[in-house]
Amino acid sequence: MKKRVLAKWLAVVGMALLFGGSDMTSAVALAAEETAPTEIFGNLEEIEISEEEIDAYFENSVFLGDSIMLGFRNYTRKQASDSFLKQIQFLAAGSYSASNSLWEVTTESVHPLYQGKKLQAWNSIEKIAPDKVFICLGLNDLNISGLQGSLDNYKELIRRIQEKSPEVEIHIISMTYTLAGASSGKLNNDTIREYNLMLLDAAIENGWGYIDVANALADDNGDLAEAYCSDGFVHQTAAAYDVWTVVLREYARADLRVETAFADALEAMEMATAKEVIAQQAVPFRNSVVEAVFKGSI
Amino acid sequence: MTLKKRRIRGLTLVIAGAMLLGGCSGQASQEEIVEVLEETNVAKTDSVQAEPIIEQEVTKPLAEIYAEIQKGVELYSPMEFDDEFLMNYYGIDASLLEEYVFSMSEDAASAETIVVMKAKSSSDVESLSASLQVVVDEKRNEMENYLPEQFAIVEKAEVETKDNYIWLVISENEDTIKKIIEDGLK
Repeated sequence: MKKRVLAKWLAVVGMALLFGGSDMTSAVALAAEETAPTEIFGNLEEIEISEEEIDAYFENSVFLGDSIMLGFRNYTRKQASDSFLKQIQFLAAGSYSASNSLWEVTTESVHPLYQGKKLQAWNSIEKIAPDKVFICLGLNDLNISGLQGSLDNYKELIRRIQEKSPEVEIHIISMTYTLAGASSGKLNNDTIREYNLMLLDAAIENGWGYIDVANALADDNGDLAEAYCSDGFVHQTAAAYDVWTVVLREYARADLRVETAFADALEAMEMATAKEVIAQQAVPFRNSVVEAVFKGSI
Repeated sequence: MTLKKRRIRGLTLVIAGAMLLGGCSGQASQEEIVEVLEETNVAKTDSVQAEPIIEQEVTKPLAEIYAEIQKGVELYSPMEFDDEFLMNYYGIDASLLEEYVFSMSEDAASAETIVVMKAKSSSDVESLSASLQVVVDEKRNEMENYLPEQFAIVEKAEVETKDNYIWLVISENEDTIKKIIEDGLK
């Protein structure tokens, strides 16, 4: 229960962090004017989180995804041996999607390899037994399954992962944009924005984390910035993955701050009271923050 | 000094020696010449090992072969992977290998792959070949219906073996790269 509630706050705070820049509390305060009392958390930015704690946050984590994730895997292999990125376990394959992740394993199916074996993701994850799973999919879904179909498949994939690994934390990484003018059918940046909102909503609904990498890589027009695009379409450069690294670390910092603040706040009140406050105020708080950060961006 | 040169020099010395002998006391007798020949040991060729005329071909270290590949063709953002990667993704135990090069393109939109391995034991060649076949199958499945040009390149690739060597080349420069490998493994 505690983790799911925390994750709801995390999804909201994560978005607020990125759209509000470093002034995270202003986004929180904006929403709090109408709903949640900020005294529950106090000033989150005053909570110190060390770089070592952020490194440790990614210990025992799996990153699951398609060719965009393969690019990130290859990027991490080139980092220094003591980089936190080296501890990440990748399950990634080109042309992978939420849709084909649900297929049976056959000689033609696409599933990420793990130690030379082609397994459905939930089986590989069960073997690896991570604490956290970060998922980035959608590139190979939208044109096949549409928005709702893609989301349904995504949720089913997560359901199967959690069925085999009930304790694992799920964190969704947003889809990233295409280069301007490089759209293909439903794979266009307006649809991607809409899909990311749907993913955010699902994350908040289900207690998953949500990391907005898309807008950190976007230019002023909301397309993938040219400097971050390696192929004139959608795949990314090392410079883009530098940004991923920063975004991931700041996300970890936000999560650790919320976790610390929540733990402190719970200690200060009865559990029943804490649950009641969160149950009464989480939904309107979420809605108001989401509206605030996305106002004018769609 | 080659055998031929040694023999000519020896004979020259013999002739010079014979001339000295002859100079001292007239023409050297046949017996004296033979005696000198025996002393100079020029006639004894049984124990002299012939030097090879043709330079013996030696298998090159795989790192050297890969360096030649990189000089010979333009690879597409190549990066080399280590023991941990081999086991983690492909289940290849690097402790079974005497040496290896495992290179793939850093760009996920390219299927380019160059792998050359030397097994410590011939009994592991079959299983290592099977592991490389997994690499081919993975690339094929990823690229089919996704990147047709890359798929066409993967379709031509096959795992090859010779003695304890196993190799795989997935590249539009496949022929050139394979020739460099094959020449290096003679």
